[in-house]
Amino acid sequence: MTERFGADAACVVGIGHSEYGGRGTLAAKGLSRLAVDAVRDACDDAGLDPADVDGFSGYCDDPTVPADLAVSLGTRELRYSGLVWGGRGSGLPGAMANAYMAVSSGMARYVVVVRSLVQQARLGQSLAAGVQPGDPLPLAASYTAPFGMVLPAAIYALKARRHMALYGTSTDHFAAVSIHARRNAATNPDARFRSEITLEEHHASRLIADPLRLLDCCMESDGAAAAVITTPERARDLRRPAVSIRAVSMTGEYKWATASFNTIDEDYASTGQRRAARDLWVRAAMGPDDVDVALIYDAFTPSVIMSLEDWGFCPIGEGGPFVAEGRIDRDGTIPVNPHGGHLAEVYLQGITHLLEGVRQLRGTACNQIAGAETALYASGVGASPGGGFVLTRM
Amino acid sequence: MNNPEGLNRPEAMPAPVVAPINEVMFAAAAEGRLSVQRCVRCGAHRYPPAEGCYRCGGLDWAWSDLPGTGTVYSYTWIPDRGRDGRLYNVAVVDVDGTEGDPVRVLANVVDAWCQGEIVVGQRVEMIPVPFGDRLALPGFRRLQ
Repeated sequence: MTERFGADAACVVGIGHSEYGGRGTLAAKGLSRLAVDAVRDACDDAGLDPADVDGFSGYCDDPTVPADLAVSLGTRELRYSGLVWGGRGSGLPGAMANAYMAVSSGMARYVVVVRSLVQQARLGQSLAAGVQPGDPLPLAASYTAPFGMVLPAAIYALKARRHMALYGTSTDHFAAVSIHARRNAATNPDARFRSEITLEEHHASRLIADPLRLLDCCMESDGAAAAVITTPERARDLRRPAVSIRAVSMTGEYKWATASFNTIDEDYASTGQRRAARDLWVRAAMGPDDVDVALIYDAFTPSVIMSLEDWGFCPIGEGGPFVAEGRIDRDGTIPVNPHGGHLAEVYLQGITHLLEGVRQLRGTACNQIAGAETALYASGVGASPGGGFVLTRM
Repeated sequence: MNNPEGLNRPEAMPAPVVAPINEVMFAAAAEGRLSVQRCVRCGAHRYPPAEGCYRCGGLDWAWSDLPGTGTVYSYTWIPDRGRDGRLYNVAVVDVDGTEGDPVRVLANVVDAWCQGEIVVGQRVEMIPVPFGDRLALPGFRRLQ
């Protein structure tokens, strides 16, 4: 893609979140209240009156309707709302792209990217994306669900098994990702899982979808998080130093729409984000060597190993040893998810990774990477288009 | 779906939605044939069913019988809640005799019951897993 991208045309000026809890524990509060809590917290952080928010950008088929949020926030002018279809954390770059385009084009002034989640539905018991037992089966799920291909974990399991067969990746490598996440979360006061785990505990945890065990999976969570996006010009009048959005890509995986088992050979044992990575590096005029901290979607451990390859942090097939050698530790070549990620902090489908990126570049993170100036968000498997974005200190 | 005796299949999974774009495939499977869409214009096979051809954009297609054999490309084993945690497998099978990008069919290897009984590269052949009225899902069994 050679078209010139208008880089650094929007920035993050505020971040916030609601309380976090286990699956269903915040149901009494409800999606809207959690979202309002997160948006107000983000506006507080920015030094912005919540009534001045004039745009909303959501993803993952979020049922939290902007028109309702606008009433509760006192929004006087609702100038923009946009939603990205499908996916989990893979939709976040699309929501960032929508906010980026809305503020940089003058469609809106302050757009909030928000995700609110109350897991009354059981993702682990779904029959297909967004389909619970008893719901009518969508036609497209007719080639997966009748065979018992229903768990989100199974999508990663099939890719992980292929990765193991091609490259010798092992369950010890997957365990290393999980052990790493828990070690980082141990010093994060917001994290749900702050106890460290051992290789033996990982291998003894119950089988979910071979080769993946319970400790390869994030835990379903409740909560909401939000970020306020505006232009660099408007950011100057706000409380905090802004974090620039250098570039965004939401380039999809070829043939993902025909389901994950029929993408082309070179994409199969990957997160499907190699095209997104190519576009992002061109647009940001940088490469993986320029990144100080990587926020990698980690609902399941193989996602981290494959992402490291897909975004160019290590050669294809070497993600397993790369992790096992400690290269993603806080003092490693490329620190990954210093907050503990979805595996250990909380699972809110990508947006908490955005918050961590902003904290790292502000220098306020609980596990601060010294001198961090550039952060990457990398989508996991699914939701074509997925993508990524680069944040930089201004 | 109810499962035929002697086949390793997950309990209580929904039957597929039978529609004009897939019914012939399920009817062929009941007769032991693996049939997938083939583009009339360029000859590329494709699965799962889609309206247009990924290769040439052609909208006309016909059903095309394949040999029914293939090679396991990847697989997973999952504890079945409906059978006290007994494992079933889901395999992605690269099927033989296609033109264009490889065609992979996701299904159960119904004669494999334990981890280790499938490996990547395992040769398999299609067998019917009946459902409804003279229809079947594709299943696979292992070849030597």
